[in-house]
Amino acid sequence: MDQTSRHATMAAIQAFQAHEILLLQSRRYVDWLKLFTSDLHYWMPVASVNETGEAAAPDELAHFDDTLETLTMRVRRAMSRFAWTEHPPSRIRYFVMPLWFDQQADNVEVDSNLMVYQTRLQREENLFVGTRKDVLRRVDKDFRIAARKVTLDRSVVAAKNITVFF
Amino acid sequence: MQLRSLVRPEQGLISRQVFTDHGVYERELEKIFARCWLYLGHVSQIPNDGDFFTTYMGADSVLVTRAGGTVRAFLNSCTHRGMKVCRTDHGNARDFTCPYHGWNFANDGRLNGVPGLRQAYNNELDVSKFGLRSVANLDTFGGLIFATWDPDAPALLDYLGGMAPYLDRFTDRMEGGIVMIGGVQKWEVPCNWKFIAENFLADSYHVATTHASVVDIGFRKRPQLRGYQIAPGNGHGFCSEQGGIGEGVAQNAYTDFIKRLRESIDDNPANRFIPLGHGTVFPNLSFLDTMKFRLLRLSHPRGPALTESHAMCFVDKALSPELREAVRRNFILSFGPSGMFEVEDGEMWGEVEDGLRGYMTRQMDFNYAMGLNRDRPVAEQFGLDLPGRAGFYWSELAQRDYYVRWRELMEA
Repeated sequence: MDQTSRHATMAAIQAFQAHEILLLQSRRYVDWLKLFTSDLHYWMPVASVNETGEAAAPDELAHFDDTLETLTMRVRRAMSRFAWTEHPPSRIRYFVMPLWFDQQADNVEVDSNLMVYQTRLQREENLFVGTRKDVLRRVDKDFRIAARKVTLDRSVVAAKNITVFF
Repeated sequence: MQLRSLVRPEQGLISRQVFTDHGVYERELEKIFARCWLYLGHVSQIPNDGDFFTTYMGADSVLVTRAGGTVRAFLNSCTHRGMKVCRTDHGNARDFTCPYHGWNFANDGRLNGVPGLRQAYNNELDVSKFGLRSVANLDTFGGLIFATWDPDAPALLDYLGGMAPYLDRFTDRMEGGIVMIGGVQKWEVPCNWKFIAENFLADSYHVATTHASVVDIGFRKRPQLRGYQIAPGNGHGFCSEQGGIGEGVAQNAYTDFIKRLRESIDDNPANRFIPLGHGTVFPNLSFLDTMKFRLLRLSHPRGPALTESHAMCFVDKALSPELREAVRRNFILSFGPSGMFEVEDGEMWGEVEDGLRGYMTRQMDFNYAMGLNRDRPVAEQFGLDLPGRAGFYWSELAQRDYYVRWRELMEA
């Protein structure tokens, strides 16, 4: 891929990520779910302090290990009128910085830095910082997310719950 | 502080100060956490020689090792200046070198090497006296590793007391017992550790309200009122809906498996309590054993208003790979910091504690009057030869027992 088309792809990735951020920040989760493919794997393995720096393996524990079906369930729960965690709603800000992408046949693999700031009620604050690896698939000249792996940097999550999406 | 006037479970009243006061907290570290048998981890976390993991006993960092086939536990603190000799969560090592001054400890706790032993200490330091500080006693129950700092503590089986025949149905209902799925969920909840321990112990009451959202979307059936709570003594307890907690509207393979298992295994009278439901082994080991998954939970105190939660997922060793995977996924979707149930618990506990910053709020009691004087022996209620007293599913029976035990230890 020449430099010009790499720039064009990076610009398309950034535009896609900005669109996703707008949906997430306005908690338009039903629209957000439309960004994923039906064979989605949405995964956040638990991090631990160990000599290799590796997070948990695929058959080990995770904070999220979802298909599109279970992610949809999480969204439906978050939007329930009985979801006290979002009544009143959080204010959430996303900072996603794409660092590198790898163009494959049908997919683009994107590595990004991720920072999510959530504030709730009067003064609760949660900061989730980590890396995100997305597999974006081209569908009708647009991207769809086929796989997402988020790894939080802090091994002991500094929050009483994780109610934001990544 | 007059604990007897503040903690009155017999009347269903407990002062909120025991969930906020620094003096009470310090006393808990001494009287509860330095004396009780505490859960460290499961033997399947350290299957090989040299394996280790770190955890807490109360607020103390603890190193658990397997050396020469023996499981040991030590204070993770160099005997010279107290630096942590191990700073990872898990791994494999024959020895641990303190990064401060270089004292080296074997994984059986012995002090192996001291820089300058000849030149600076003139060979006058008795290295045999400065090994890592070992727990006073360590024992296992169904692969669960427990330890205590109290050399006069009763045997683990006596400590578990009436809880043992029930807990056994958590650990040993299939050939080979249980194994832990790798990885520990860890997170910080800004609340007193007892909020979490007593919720798992016996709070069936909150499910319908706190967790209304998972019922709303059909992930869980509407909680039924049929069920039981059991207080087997020594501050332990558990409770369950009739037939097991957590059946969804959509059936899953594990649910069917549990039903078949319950009917097929030997004639242990405690089998009827499979899956156990939710409960706590005094003081801070909680469990959840449902029709969908099985977990253990530790609520480590980190100050009067901060708890470090650790959640671990368990499966029967003999479980098929498909069911094991179903249990793992069910657990992740339901509990832990991101679980569809537990996100709401965190919301409650954090907000209750936040409210206790006020002076007037702290002058009040919490109310534990539910089901007061309405329990009867398990043997009578179920016609089974099993220990303990049984109450209604919605009850605060086991919580009252828990705080009687707590007060007894705190006053000792």
